Amino acid sequence: MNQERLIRSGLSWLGRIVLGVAFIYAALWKLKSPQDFADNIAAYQLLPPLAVNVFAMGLPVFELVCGLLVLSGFYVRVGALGISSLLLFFGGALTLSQIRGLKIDCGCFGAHSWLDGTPWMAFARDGILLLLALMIYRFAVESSAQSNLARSDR
Amino acid sequence: MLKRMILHDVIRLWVLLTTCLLGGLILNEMRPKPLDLVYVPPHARLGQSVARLGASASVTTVPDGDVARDELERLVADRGALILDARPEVFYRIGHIPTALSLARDDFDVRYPVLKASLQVWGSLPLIVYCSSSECDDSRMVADALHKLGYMHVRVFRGGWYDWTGANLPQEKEP
Repeated sequence: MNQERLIRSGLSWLGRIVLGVAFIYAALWKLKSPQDFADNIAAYQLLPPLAVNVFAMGLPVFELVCGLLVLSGFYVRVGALGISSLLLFFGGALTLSQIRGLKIDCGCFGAHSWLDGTPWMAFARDGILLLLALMIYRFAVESSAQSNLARSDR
Repeated sequence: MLKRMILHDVIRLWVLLTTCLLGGLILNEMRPKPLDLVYVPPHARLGQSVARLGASASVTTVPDGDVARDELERLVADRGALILDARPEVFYRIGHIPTALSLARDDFDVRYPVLKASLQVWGSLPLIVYCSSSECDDSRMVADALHKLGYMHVRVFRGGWYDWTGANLPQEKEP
């Protein structure tokens, strides 16, 4: 039992570091050149012109805050849920762009990033990060539920 | 209890998302060059900049053709052309083709007046514009803009930065 908890705790820590660093890094690049990020969003042809720039301004801030929450351990559940939602949103946008045959930059780590790779690499990376985020969320929910139970027993 | 916890998380997430979107709008206003509220596509933004810089509407000829990597390599070695980097300046600073000057597509209205004197001094040489790779349009857009501003010998290195670095050719970095 203790060993299982130890493994879960270790996995959760590792996942939080990977997710936190990835999202903070991606957010900082996007915050550095918001116009390029707006161009990336527009290339997906999913949002109207009024929403493109609002997303380009706000989404990197959201990514940064979620990354910081997951990394710091403060409101981990909200951070992990935020990252999961973002990854589902990005994955959906990528899928639609591939179905429509759009030849675009993923823009996942800001414009012109060497980390973006091919759309398939972006899919794979999104999938792995989504699994990590969901795992962290599940561990955090279970841990909170156990704490609440212990508190109510006292 | 579990459902209530997840519901609370979802509510907190919405509050956080709304706050971040508002925070992003405020942060944007604090930038030296804030984004407009409504998105304007790159070619339209560049067109506005070029019009502000006084482009001639009478230029109808097309810019010169593309330049291949081996030809560009020779031109760089002989200083036979003025190379212009159309990527965002942050990428130029990280690394660029030797002797290239930064003329980022999105900072065209700011960078062009700074470079104008150099462009005119070197006016007899061809101008070669590049961006990241053959997938990006920035080099083509900047070449067209320069052409509209009266530069007749503008060519594009379509392979761009990835083609150049992929061949292990020398590069320069900004301090």
